Amino acid sequence: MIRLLGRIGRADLRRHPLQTGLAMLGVAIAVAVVVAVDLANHSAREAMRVSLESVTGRATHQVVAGPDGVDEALYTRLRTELGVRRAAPVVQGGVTLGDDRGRPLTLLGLDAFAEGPFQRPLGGGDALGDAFNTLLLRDDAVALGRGEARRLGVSTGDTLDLRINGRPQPVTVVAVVDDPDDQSRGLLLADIAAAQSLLGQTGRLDRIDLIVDDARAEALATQLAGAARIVPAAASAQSVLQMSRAFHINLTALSLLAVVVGAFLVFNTLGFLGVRRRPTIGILRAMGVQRREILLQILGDALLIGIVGTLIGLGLGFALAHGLVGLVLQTVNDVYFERAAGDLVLSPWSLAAGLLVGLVGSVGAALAPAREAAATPPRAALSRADLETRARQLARRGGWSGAVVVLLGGAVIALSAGLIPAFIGLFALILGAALLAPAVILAVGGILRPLMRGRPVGGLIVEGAVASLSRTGVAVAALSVAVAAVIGVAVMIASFRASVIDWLEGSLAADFYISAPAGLTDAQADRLAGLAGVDFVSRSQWVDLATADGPVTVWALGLPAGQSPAVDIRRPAADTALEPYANDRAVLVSEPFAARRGLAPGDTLGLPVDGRRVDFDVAGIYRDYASPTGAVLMRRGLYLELYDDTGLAGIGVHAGDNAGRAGLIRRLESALGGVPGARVTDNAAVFEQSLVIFDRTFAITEVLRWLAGLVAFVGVVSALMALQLDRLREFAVLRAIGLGRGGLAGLIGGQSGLLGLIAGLWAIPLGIALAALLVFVINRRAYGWTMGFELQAGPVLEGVALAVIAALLAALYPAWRAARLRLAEGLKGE
Amino acid sequence: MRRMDPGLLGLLGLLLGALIIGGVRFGLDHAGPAAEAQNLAEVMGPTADADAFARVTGPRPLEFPADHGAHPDHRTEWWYFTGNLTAANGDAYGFQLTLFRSALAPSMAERDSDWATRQAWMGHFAVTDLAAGEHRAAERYQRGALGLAGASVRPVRVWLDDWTIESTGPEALFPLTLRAEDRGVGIAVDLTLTADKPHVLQGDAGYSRKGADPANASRYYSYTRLAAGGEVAFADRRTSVSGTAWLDREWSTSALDANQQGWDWFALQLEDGRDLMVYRLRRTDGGTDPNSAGILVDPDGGSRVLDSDDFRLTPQRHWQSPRTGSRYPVAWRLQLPDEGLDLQVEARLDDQEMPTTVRYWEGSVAVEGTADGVGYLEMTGY
Repeated sequence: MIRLLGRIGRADLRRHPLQTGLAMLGVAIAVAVVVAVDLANHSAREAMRVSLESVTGRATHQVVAGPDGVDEALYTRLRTELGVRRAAPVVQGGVTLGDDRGRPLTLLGLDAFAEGPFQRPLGGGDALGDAFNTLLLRDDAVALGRGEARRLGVSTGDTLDLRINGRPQPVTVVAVVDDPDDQSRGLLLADIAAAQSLLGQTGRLDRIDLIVDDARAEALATQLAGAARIVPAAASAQSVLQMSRAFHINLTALSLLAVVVGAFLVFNTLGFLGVRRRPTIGILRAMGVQRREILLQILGDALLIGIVGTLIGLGLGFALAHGLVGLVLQTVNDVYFERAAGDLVLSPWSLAAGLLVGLVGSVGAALAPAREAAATPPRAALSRADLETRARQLARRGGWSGAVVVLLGGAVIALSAGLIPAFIGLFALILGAALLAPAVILAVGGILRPLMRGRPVGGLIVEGAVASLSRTGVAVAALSVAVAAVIGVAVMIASFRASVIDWLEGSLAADFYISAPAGLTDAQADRLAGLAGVDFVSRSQWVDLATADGPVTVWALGLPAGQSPAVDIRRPAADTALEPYANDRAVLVSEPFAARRGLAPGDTLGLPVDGRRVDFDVAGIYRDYASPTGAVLMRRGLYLELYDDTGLAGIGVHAGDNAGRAGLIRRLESALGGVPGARVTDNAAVFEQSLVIFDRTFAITEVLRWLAGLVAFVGVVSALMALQLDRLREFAVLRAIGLGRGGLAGLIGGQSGLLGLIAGLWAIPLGIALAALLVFVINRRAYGWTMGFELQAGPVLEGVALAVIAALLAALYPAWRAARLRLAEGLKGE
Repeated sequence: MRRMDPGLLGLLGLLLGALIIGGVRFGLDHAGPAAEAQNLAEVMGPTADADAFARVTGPRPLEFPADHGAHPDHRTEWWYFTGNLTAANGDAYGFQLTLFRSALAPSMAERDSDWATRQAWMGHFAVTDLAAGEHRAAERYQRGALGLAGASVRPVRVWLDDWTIESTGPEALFPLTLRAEDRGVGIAVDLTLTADKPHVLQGDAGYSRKGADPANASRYYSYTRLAAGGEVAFADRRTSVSGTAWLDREWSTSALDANQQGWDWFALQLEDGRDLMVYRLRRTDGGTDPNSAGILVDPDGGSRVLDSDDFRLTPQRHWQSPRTGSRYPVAWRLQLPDEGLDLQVEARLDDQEMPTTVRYWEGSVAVEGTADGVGYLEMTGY
């Protein structure tokens, strides 16, 4: 009996090759989307990692000690006793050219044996070739980047006259290394032995760079206690990239979204099995076939479709990810992406998710309709109207449960503090919104129905869309989740970018930034302030103070009267915060610092002064993405009163309105002649570069938009085709009573477009809620930062347009088919 | 069956097309160029400045423990440990720990910094888990300065980072401990080695001639039978083991002639108590160099030097590395007619190629035939 039933099932699949094919295609696309999103996310993560490394090197932590640097024996201890393999010593010092202008350069001493994992532009032995030995064996050998060699007018074999510690010192250029981005501007590379000897710094290192995880770093900090400290690497330079790491977590949320969308697609395409077989089931049941047997038959067929679809989907997903990443590559034409995209691999997780969606999803999707079909009394099973009535009841019930799920999700988010509950809440929100989709169709139908009185085609469009919930409900749900993902990601990236720009503008308020390895002085700052074209200068000192709760980074900022620090104060109002900051013993703290210490405006913060603890008022909290541990901003006047330190780590130069940049940078450089290692950084260039890196990093998310579009298209096409094929007879009747071909095509297109529009509109609140959750809840819980929320009409309208266009495109084929329908055949039914 | 609908066919065709284009464009040409590997024979050949280094030109008496330490004026030197180990449950492991020293220049002026050196060190460490059928290896480089890598005597200590070989007592080399770990690769050894036999001098009292030029030669002695006990870790699983090991000590400035391609080196420990070392130097024309040699060590430690006429090596089966494409003979017939030995030597795992900068095959082998045993095989220049 079972075998006979199996044959009936298989025959049914064969008799409807189009629908069977569509179902397989639907499963395949669902699996493909899950796999492709995961792969695209993977390559986005890789791209981010590569971008990060290209700017900061790969060091995660640094071993540092007092002003005299780190005892070199510590490096041997790290290697031979503590088993740290990825550690590299660094010696660096300021030198100047030996001529009259005394242009400052930085002499960087590295150990080529240790550089491998750090991949610095000048560090690796590969780039040096034969010069490797020479650098190692001589005390006067240096290597240069090509750009710097051109500026200095030297090539391999030439002698370069330097002044080091006030004494003339000739060195020999033994290698000129390719340096396409001129990353090693102002750098001279030497072997660490030569650098120690040239700088008169034998026995000492400036720091040891490490690549370790946080747990290991903490363990090492304990083991090295007393001799040195371990700090996170380079929080200062291109900190925008540090922030990009936050995006990792958002990408994880996107993978989750893909699974949901995929599951809906599968439900969408496989729900039809039970629906279509209802008449057959009615007959079989009337003949006495057991429910269980019918259930098994349908599930068996669903599994068959699931297996074929999953297999195709895995391959398709892989090809899709590669193809889309390739498309993005062509538009950005970026070497970093090429590297990142080169090693796309199918992770076990994405394979498992694909299999889960494809196989479990197929059977699960067929289960409810199959059970329902098997359970209906034989007579009712033969009636279609009964099915749609039940679908409408289900829509209402689904709507209620959707609302409950949304509320529960909201409650979980509101009442919890951790990251995982936030993800659970996010998932609940998506699920609930999807469950609400059929109810939304009903509601829209209810609104539109009165408007369509006296417009028969309009009425048909609305009724057709609403009356076929059993087919269209899940399609609209899938479509709206997909479009919501597009909107959510677009809004989130826009918010992210706007915040980055705000913050960069604040932290790069000066036009130029001057730094030197040995620090700067007020006299130098005064000299720079007096140059033509300079409006004013800001004076910064950075110090780490040891407190009982761990080290605190203090930023002492000196500005001329009438200037306020260019930070974005979040709480309280800027004026309220700046007044005590400028006049009292009060400080501003950065957001991460406030989050870590649980500080609010009005609280007090104790800092060590001369071995005593002095309380400072917290005047306000400002936004800062640079340091994950946070910083305390103090007026330099106050700092100078309390601490015996007049040194400066950096000078910010604010140009006057009419100053030419090129001329000013030359004047600054010549004013700094004789200051060893002084570097002038053009903040405009840093700003540009940061945004270029940002855009490059997020270009890959374009892939997601394509994927969502594809989901929308396939989901709607399969739902519509199933629907329209079902209704051929209805169309034939419509044709027979006088509706023209164009009218019929318009009807089909209108119904489809309406469904697309409903899905698109429903996606707007969902997408915005999604973005808001990512921005306000998930980022904050993961990192302690807040970001602005940048809601622009563009991406939202794009999302709606995507849904409508996909739906209209999807209607093309069914409309074409319906228009070619032969009346007599159609009227006969299938 | 009804005819397939043309629209559906079109849609499927479109997707299939995308699949094929994707596959062709991104999937099929994944096999990129392999990492640039160097050939050991190229590294070991004579160079223009060889005369400025100290050279091995004839026999001289060895002095211990001084000669267990480094010979910094010779260009190349190594401490080469290999061994076969067995756990209590019968699982078998092979290990190799080699520390190479290489002088970058014959001399260097006095310099201020303690980082200054002309000695570069390289370490190769491998463990084969024969039960799991997997070989893992790690490579490290270090400068011979500041206590980061080096060799000292009284007690003998040779190290690179935290890979160490250290004698227990001040005068004798054995017993010694051998410790190495690579967390990333997930392998480690912590072994104590004792000498079951005294050292044997290879070639003419330790003068091992490798080429037509008498100065293309090395100083070479071996401990052919060491008892090993301790722990080995593979994939971070730690196991107590015992077994036998072998130490080769060799230093030279120029060891190969220009027309030599590489070598096949066998270190075999037979169950009857004898140890057998033979190496075949391969010429670029495919022939065997007459300077190929070996040694047969009796159970009591007495030994007899073998020259290239005393043994015959015949490759029986090849294995091609999927990574480098090199074809290595992994099964050999080794005949010593005068000794009545006819041995079948076969890799206990085919894939024991070292994924190191200098690429070669080094792995555990099993011996069957007129005598049974285990050993290590090294093949370079393939």
